[in-house]
Amino acid sequence: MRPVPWLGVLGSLLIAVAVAVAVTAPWIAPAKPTQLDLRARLAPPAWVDGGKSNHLLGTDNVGRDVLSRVIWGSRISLTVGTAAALLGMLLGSTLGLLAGYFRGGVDAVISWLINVQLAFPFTLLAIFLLGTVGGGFAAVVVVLALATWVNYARIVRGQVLAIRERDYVLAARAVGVPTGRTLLRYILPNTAAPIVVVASFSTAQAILTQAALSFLGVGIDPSVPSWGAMLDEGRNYLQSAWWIAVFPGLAIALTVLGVNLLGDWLRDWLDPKSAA
Amino acid sequence: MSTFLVRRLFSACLVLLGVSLATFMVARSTGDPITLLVPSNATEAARTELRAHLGLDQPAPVQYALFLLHAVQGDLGSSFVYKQRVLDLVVNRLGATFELALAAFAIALVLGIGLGMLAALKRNTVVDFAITAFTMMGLAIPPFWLGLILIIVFAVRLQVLPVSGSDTAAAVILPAITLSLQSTARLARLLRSSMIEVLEADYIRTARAKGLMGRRVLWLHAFRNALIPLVTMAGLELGDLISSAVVIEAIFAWPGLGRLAITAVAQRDFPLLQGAVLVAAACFVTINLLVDWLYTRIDPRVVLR
Amino acid sequence: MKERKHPFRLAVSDLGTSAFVAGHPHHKTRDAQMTTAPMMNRRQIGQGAAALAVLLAMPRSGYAADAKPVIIASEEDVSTLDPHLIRNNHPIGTVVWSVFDSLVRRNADGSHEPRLALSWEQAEPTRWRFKLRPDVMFHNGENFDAAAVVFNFNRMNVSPYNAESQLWPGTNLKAVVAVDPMTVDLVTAEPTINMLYWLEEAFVGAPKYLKDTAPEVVSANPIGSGPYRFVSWKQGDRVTLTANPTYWNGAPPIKDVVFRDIPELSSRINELKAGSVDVAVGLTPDTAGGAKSPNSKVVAVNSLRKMHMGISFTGIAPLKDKRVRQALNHAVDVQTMIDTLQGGMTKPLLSLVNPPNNDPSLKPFAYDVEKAKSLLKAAGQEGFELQVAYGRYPGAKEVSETVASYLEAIGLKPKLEAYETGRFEEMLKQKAFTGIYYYGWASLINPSVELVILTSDAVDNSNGYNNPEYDKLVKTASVTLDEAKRKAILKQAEDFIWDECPWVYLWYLPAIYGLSTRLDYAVRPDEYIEIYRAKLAG
Repeated sequence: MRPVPWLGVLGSLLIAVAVAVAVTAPWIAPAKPTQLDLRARLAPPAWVDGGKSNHLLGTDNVGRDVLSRVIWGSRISLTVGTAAALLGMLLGSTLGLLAGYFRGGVDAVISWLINVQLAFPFTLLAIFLLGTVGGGFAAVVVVLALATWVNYARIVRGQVLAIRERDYVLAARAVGVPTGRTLLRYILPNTAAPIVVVASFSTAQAILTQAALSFLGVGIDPSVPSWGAMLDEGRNYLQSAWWIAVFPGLAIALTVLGVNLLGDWLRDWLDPKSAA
Repeated sequence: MSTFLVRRLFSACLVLLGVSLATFMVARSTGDPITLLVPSNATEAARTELRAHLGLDQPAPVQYALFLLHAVQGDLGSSFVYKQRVLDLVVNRLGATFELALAAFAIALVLGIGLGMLAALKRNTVVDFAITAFTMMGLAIPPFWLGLILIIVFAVRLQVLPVSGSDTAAAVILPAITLSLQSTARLARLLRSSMIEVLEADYIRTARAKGLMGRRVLWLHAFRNALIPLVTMAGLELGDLISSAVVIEAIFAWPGLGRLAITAVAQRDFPLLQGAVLVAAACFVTINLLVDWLYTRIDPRVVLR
Repeated sequence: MKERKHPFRLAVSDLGTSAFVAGHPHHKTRDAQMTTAPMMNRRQIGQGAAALAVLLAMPRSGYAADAKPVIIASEEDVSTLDPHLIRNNHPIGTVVWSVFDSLVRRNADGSHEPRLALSWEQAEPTRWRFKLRPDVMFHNGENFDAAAVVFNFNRMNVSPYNAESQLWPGTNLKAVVAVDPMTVDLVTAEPTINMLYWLEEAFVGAPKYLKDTAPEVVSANPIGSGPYRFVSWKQGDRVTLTANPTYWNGAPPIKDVVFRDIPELSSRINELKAGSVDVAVGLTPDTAGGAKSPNSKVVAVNSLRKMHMGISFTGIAPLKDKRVRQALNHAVDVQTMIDTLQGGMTKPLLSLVNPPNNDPSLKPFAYDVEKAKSLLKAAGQEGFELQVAYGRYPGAKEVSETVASYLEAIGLKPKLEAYETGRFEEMLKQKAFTGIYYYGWASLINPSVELVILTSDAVDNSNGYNNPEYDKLVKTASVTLDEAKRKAILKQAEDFIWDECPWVYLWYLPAIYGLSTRLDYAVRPDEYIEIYRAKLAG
């Protein structure tokens, strides 16, 4: 009935490639991502004048292989993005579920939290927390989850408010099914579709934000190559050695594109009404 | 209407209270600002005096209570580093941030609505595809990266626009475009899908089939209906623009609130940080109050409680 | 490098107790440099106030009518322009130096020359007497005299100004006494020979204005007696100054000066090349080449800032062994790092004492991996884990990464750690690093001052180096008045500490400026920009 979702296929492909690259990084990367060679620094990509065949995408400001770093960098972007989206999902969905189901005081408090979070300038919060507490994988994931939980909470709360008045939920409550069971068995499954859609967009948002934080110099352990940190390293070389920042920038754009395309397709697929 | 206003204002105040409390707690958890405020060879006596001078010798709850007490009187305290009134400093910068955010917002609205309508109008054509591609890329490209590239292309190579600063009207163009990119893409996508949704609605199909609606009326009608989600979204976007201006301001040397706040973080200038965050949050809250009010103007069915 | 200026607690040094009088031949040449303004301006000074007002109302001669202001682009904005709250050499220090005068001026080579003081002498070991320059007027018309000095210096001794101004603690100052309207005595608790150094950063503002005006107004609208008058400050964007036509030393050659805040390095360079900026501060060796254009040139000077990896003595145990610290120094190929990362624009550190006072027999540690390994083996400390920390300073990351890779090559397990600017400074002040950290130390050309920072009770001792033997040498030198003897002791301390390796020695930070071709200015090694000494070419 519906045409082939080409964009969805493209998105899935992009993500599949990114995941495959991340998983096989140790085998496909031509060099160690931290292997530096000062004498070979700032070498251009192989096809540009002065480029060397052993550095396909050139070298960075301390002579590391850009291709290898882009390959290894996929790991941080994907794991941080996914972990942050999942943690945000756990936090946001739970709060949304509670707010929507219990309403009243619980809803008031959680809605207040949501509004406070929305009104708080996030970038500042992130710089402040990561700067003073220090970076690291866990810290970055938590901070990014702080940015995304609101998306889930709002959607889930709305869904639950609608679902809780449906006959089968009312029936379950009438026959004395415990609250916890009602929530998990009858309500949560019905919020799954929007959660999945929000999760995909939140992943994209987390990947971009993580890159922005690295760009600002706070975030992930610097000994692990990450795309955002590579952009930061390359920002002063855009005119003399463009390849340092351009390739990780492309990698971020393609990955985020893939996740967004997949998200679009998921939304259409899960909710045919919104298809366009 | 007036009860609605009172309720919303009250809840807005509660939100600001939450924001200020969160900022205060985060700030105080980072240690003694005196360490960073004085040269390392300042005497212990000078440190103690300065601590008292800045009110940092009080217990934290007292400090917060005093901050609130002064804040409701319009006094956000004095900056540790600038030695000036926080409110003056923040208001000084707010103008620049507003200018940038509003310019970006205007671009996002015009481009977003234009592209969204066009895509809906020319659905499933090359035009639609091109616009979709543009919006998808717009969402995927890191804005700060785009900003650096735009500088090189337009300011360095072509030399048609200034590199940075805020002294000419032209200077706002590059940062505003950079900042607006994501919002433009989101608004265009939103408008396209809500336009299509309205056009696909049964009653419209029927009306069209019967030839009851002129093309023009049809599009106006669809647009009016698509406006509601657009207004919600636009309100959030404007708030978001103020917050994401932080990075863009640094790249383009834009003298806005974001850069002031980043400096405040680096120097542990607590009153300044609290003031900047509070004012930014207040803007966000105000914008959303306006959005709620706009609803009633666009859609008479919306009743505000 | 974006850092707080490093004030020093000075020990008695080799400046002796002789009197300094204006008119020393050395100073004369400097003065000549400084008075390149049209002579007419000088004559104006002698005229009465009424005549002066008339002259002021007329268009000022000597400046090209169409001259664009000179624009200086820095990485950060000024934060306060209160003359007693100078938080960094540049840009705050630079602006304050332009708007205010101090009693004594510091030359680029560290020597002193008269400014608001005409001459001075150490009347007694604890009493310095300064003869003041007559007929000097503040920008608001107030007169400069001994009372103004007394008011300003006393202001530096109260909170919050005493937390930033170092005149009192730095010199052990006890009292400031106006002997007559043009003579001031500075009385110290102990003999000090560092009076001039601290006076050079003790600026004098219009006293009545300072007294009667709210602090927040003072910090945003400075009024001094300096070569430039403050015009406006658009926060986060620019500070505008204009030439003081009645400056006691003649109006400066450049009429209008603007300090712009452009945080992004590439933007500063792009503005320079586009001709919209005249001085771009804080270039890196890698970006220097790209800053050259028909509109611009690049000027580099070896700054006084000694770059190093500080080695913590309060952290992990292996670093407390001298052999391990020497091994670290042998492991790092400093010359290759200079040739590549620094573009060959500097040279390896030769001593902890800046040239020309350094002991020429000291040589940089040779790059020798085998020697490094055998030293580690001898110390019984192989393969340990080591923190390599750095802040958000230009080049800090690449240097730290490179050092880490050299350490990996001798079998250690370096762990890179990045710190946000504020946090990094806190860590330094609390001596909280456990491994090594990238840092730069700026100081005078003055051996005892440079050596004192590694004594155990020095407040700026950020790696916790603590060696009674070294403390004793430096302390003895500081009370040895015989110059030859003192130099011998200092040399002993210098040689001792070099061998001790409290740092992994790197290089002198090259201070690189982009200058527009129309600007004629000699840059200083200490980060201040004396724009009143610059002029427009052609």
